Amino acid sequence: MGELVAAIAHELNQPLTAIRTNAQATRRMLASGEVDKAELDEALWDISADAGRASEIIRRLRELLRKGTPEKLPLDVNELVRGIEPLTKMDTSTEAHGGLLWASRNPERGLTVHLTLPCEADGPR
Amino acid sequence: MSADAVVFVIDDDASVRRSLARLLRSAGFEVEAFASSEDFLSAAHPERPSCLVLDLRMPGIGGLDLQHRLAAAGLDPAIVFLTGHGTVPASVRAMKAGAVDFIQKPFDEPDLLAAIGRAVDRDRGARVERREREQVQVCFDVLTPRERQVMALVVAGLPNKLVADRLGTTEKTVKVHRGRVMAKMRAASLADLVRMGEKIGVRGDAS
Repeated sequence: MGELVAAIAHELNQPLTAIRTNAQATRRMLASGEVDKAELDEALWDISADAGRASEIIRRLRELLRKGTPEKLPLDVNELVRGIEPLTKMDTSTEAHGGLLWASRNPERGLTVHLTLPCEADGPR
Repeated sequence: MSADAVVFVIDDDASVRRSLARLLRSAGFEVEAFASSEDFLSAAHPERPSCLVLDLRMPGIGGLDLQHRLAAAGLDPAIVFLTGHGTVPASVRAMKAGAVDFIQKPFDEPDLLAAIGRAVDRDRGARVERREREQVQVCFDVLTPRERQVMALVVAGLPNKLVADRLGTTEKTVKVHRGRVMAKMRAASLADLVRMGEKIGVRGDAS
């Protein structure tokens, strides 16, 4: 846990450092009187991008903390059935449910699906 | 601020590198930025006052490694290290190896600029010192072995009479040698000659 926190702190510190340094540079440019608008714009663009980078780190951190409670995402059952058709070597009807349903899945861990398919008495063809 | 100085920024984080280069340029420094120690080492560096602003932790050759490599190559660049938190042992090692300063990210502008100013000043002083030493050495190299002996004893504070006794010659001959030494070394005075001797490590045994 300590290592993780240190790594996150380091990751966040980089964009914060860049933001602060760019802000200081921008103030110097303005104070110097001879303002290069293109250079100023570039600095502000970088500040904005680094703020975005910091937000993204925080978003991923939140996701990590939520790992115990997977979020529900829309799942197309038909797509799923079509996906496993080659594995079952069976003809499947892909119109059984006809739409989306909400399923628990954790995008970080991938998806495990258990399907019970009705088979004919003489087994797979 | 330091019109003739160049600051080499070495940081693997593109955002930090760009922002640093921008700030230092806005403060009047010429900046050359590199994404790695390897890039820095493979670039050509002009003979002019400079300092390194070096990230402590980088993939590949890290900040401390680069410091050691440059030292091993006989270079003594003025280095300002950039560091995150909790790197006290590394900081201590770097300072002992001659780093000028340590600045913690995110840096405070006055602290950073002051540290870089000190580093550039140190490098400028070191370059002047080195150039003077080289010039003195060039003059010293054209002295004859006898003239070198005379110079060593003269800068040790011995009067001509004692120099003559030491070398088993006459005071008159010593005076002639001494005059040639002064001319060849382009020394304006005895004090000047003593100062030159100190620079290149020429000292005689006065006792």
